[in-house]
Amino acid sequence: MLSLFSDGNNDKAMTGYIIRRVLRMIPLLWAVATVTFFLMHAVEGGPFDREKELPPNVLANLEKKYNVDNPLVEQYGLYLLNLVQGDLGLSFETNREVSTIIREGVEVSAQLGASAFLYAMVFGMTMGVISALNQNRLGDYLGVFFATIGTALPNFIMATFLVIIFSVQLGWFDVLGWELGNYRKMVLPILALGTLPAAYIARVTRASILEVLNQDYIRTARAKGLAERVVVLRHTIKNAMVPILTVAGPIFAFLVTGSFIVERIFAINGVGRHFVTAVFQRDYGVIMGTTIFYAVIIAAANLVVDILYAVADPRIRYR
Amino acid sequence: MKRPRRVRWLWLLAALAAIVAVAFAACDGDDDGDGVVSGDRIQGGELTLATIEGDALDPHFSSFASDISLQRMIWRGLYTLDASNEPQPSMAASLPDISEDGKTYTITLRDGLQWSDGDDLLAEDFVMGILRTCNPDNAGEYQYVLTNIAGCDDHFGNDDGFDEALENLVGVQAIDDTTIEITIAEPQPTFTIILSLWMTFPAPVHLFPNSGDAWPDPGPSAPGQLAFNGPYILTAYTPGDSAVLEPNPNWAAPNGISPTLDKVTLRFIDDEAVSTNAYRTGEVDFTNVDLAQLSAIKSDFEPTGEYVRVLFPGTVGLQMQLTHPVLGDPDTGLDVRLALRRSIDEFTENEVCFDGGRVPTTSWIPEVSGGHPPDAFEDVIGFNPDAARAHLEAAGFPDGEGFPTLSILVRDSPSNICVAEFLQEGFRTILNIETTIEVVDGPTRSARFTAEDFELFPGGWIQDYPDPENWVLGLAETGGSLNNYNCSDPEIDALVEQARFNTNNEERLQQYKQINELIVTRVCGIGVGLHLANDYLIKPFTVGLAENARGLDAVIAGDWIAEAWGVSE
Amino acid sequence: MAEAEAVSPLEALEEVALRPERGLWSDAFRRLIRNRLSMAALILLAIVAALVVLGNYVDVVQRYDPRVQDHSATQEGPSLDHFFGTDQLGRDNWARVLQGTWISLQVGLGVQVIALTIGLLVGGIAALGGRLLDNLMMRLTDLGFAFPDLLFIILLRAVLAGRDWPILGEPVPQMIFAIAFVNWVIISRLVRGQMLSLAERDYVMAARAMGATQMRIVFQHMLPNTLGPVIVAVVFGIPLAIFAEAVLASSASGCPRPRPAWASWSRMATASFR
Repeated sequence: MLSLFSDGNNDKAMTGYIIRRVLRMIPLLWAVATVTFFLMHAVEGGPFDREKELPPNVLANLEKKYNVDNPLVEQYGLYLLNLVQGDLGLSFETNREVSTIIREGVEVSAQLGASAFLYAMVFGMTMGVISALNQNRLGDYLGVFFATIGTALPNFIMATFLVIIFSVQLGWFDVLGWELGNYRKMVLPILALGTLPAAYIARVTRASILEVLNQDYIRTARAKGLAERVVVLRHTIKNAMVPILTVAGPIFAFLVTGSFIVERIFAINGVGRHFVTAVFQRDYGVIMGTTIFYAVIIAAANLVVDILYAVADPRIRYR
Repeated sequence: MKRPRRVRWLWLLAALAAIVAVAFAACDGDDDGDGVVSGDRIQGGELTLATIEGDALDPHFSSFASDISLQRMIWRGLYTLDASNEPQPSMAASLPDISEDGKTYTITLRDGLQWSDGDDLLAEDFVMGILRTCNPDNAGEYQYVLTNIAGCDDHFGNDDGFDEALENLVGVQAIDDTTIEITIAEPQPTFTIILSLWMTFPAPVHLFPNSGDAWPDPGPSAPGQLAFNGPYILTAYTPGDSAVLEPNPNWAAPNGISPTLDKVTLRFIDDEAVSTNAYRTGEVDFTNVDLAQLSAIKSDFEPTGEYVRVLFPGTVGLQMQLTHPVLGDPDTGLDVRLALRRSIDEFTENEVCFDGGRVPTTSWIPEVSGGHPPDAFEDVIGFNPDAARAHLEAAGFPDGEGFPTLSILVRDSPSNICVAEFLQEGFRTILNIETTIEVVDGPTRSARFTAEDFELFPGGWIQDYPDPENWVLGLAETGGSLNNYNCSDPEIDALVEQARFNTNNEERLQQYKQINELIVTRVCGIGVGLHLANDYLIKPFTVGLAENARGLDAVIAGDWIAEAWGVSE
Repeated sequence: MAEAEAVSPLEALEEVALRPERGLWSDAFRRLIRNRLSMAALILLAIVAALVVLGNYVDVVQRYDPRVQDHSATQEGPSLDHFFGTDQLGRDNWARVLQGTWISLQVGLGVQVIALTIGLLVGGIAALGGRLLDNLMMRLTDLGFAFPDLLFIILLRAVLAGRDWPILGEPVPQMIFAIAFVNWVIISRLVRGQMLSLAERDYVMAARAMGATQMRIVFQHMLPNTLGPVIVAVVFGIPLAIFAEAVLASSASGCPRPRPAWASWSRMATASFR
């Protein structure tokens, strides 16, 4: 399949395709920034509305400091101008660079997200394969049971239960934080974050393998007397990868951009919490920054998936 | 087909049984502590305290309680408040010399004061602290407390921002390296208290020579850019995660107490349910209690002495918009307001919504802050369904007939919503009137409050400094900057005018008491209901947290005298 | 295939998507009643639905007024009187759960109805409307996909809150609208991909060769065959929408009080569980 890349023609087509896709991100980001900017300003309450009201001159001084005393369109223009120069501005809450805030959070969120992704892929695919190869038998029902529980249990409930049972009661794991390499701080967040995607991947894997198993070439492989192991590993799973890959991309992007709930319940200092707290604090700078960051990651993940997709299925061509 | 199916069901049953078993195992938890260890303090040790992260490290800007809590650990002012709320000399050598007209304060510093980085701590540093608060470019949120310092308002209110000429007119100067002179516009009996508050903390002139110089943001590089004069120094700051403190080698120990701990870690946790779990596993040694679990926590930790409650100088109730034609009617409005207030059973409200976590009251100003005892006005505004109905009838709405549907505006949190639903039910069953509940998030609620766009609004006031004037000025007089419910009563106004700059302290306090009675009995914008309390969990091996827990705490037990913290084992 | 990205995205590929498409509703129904697991699920759903409807309109089932507070019986455990116990304010949890289920179902279904409508429209136009429209619609879905869900739902909800608009001024429709707004993208991509591939199928070509009108081809042949994977996506979207409402309720402004949705209920429950 990798021969695709040695095909000079398609190689060039691919490069062109990637360039076009990257260029297309520019209007996308502009649109995301614009929509978010005006929606955010349409919300009642501003960044300086506090439990204790600020005196008018303090408010005026703060608005001047953060440039929100100008007409909205002017602020918008200024924001875009800064954005083009790669400047995401300041947090209204802490006065820190938004890009710094995101960078600090992403490191942890990405570690957690990637670990959860690994768990979701390995465990989900294993469950899916077991299910498919034991269709309508015990293994299948176990797999389907897992997939159903995994999708039916919201992660805020699951995370709470995990903490209460395994940390507070049994003392096996820590309640707080995330630390790469420290299993006490890794297992529960990974389970809480990765189980829903794992269940989802299990379903897709099962369906996809069942589909492949019905194909003629599998029947042929079996007919010519190949060992079942070879049939499954060489022919079935490999060919079942395409739909799994398709869902894996967005899941990956979704996981590494952090989860508000999991990060809150485990007091993990990731980027996920900013997506929610920023809105509640009306922290305009962080709302814009996190949205744009998310859009970039999603667009990039989609691009990668589309490319991988072609690698896995040579029938797809780029134009 | 039959056999495998049965097996399947068996498996499902087994799985279910396992889940149920685990769930039940989780329910009958026992977290028996080892009882209170009342041992003696040892040298060394570490504490990890759960707290909510603030938003600034700048004492001349901050308004968040958690900011102020941290700032009191690493900086200290000229004075500090003692356990009975009296100002005591801290960085100052003695109480101020006050001129005869009461307008000039002369303060001498202790000898040999040093910043944590070894530089001398001088009079100019304290001057700089006040100048920073008065500098409009810094937009300090508590500048209003310094309004009486000559020229501070003029500078802060300057439309064009910082102005050197105006700054030079601010009435604070260093006479020499150890003498500060402050000029105030009117004699103010509470001014020494103000010189203990965070907005007057010193600023290191050797690091920030001008009052407009940028102060470090709460980030990893902040500790290296600052100098400290409090009992601790900030050695690490990780946003969203933690702040690490170590003893300040140059701490002047004005009260004779120096930190014994090697390290204090403030672990930032947004959610009290999370920090309460972390307390149970021993990952933190202190937390504020998740009120939703209060009864469970009480039963687990009251016997061990780990559960500590302290009254907190705050009062909440039902605020009412007096520009509303019915609520604020000059003839019948008072009856309407009394009807609403007297149909609220604050005792039951306290039980069901706060697990008994607050203190039912009929006094606006808490007794400790110069108000009346909680039951003082029980027979005027206390819960009484018959009286409530009579008031409503007197106002022209017999049995609620013709009464408009009012809206209750609350911030989204379980206890706030509980309060709103409790009020709604009381109004419906006792007064036979319907109300609607509007649930909004924090900034929306604040914006609507500021814009006076509300009818009924559960809310109140938390004291900034322990004096009754802090409960009245700006809040109760006509046109006061925080008087968003539009309380306007000529008698109150007249008393405020008399009390404000009254140097006869005895008389002044009496006048504020009178004002308190008027606010309460005329339901002037607020139907007073509950005083606040803080509920803590504190590990038994700590020293100085539980013992010093009182209304002076910002967020952490005893954080007003953090140098007294230690461990006993 | 036009472009690689035409392939259906997240939430899309389910067993139905991979199965050979089948035409008739009756066939589907026959298969449904033959499948015992599906029938069991269907019966369960019917019971829940009946309980919910009855529970909100028939006193015998509801047993207590979910509004009424009994402050002498707060936070009680399950009993014959109160099947699910009582809450903080002494209200009957059974009645409140029934009421909450009603709201959750409204949110779950409402979101999917809106998402399906927009998704079918956008996806259909993209697939059938020619290159320019296709490009336009797909950029639109790119845009919808690029927003962080939770942030956007909260933001939309906050924008809508407190406005005196008809329908959208009500909290439940606001919630439905806000959540639907981030959910239609998946369906529109699915519809487009499905339709594009269907256009190449033999029977569609045959219909076209026999001179069937475009209308007829779309509504008679393509739309029904698109529905399989779409239904799966819709069905999976329902719990996700309810979760979203749950998250909103536990972090932002959820449903109007005192009407409980599942979410607020579970929040209280996890808080008092230990």
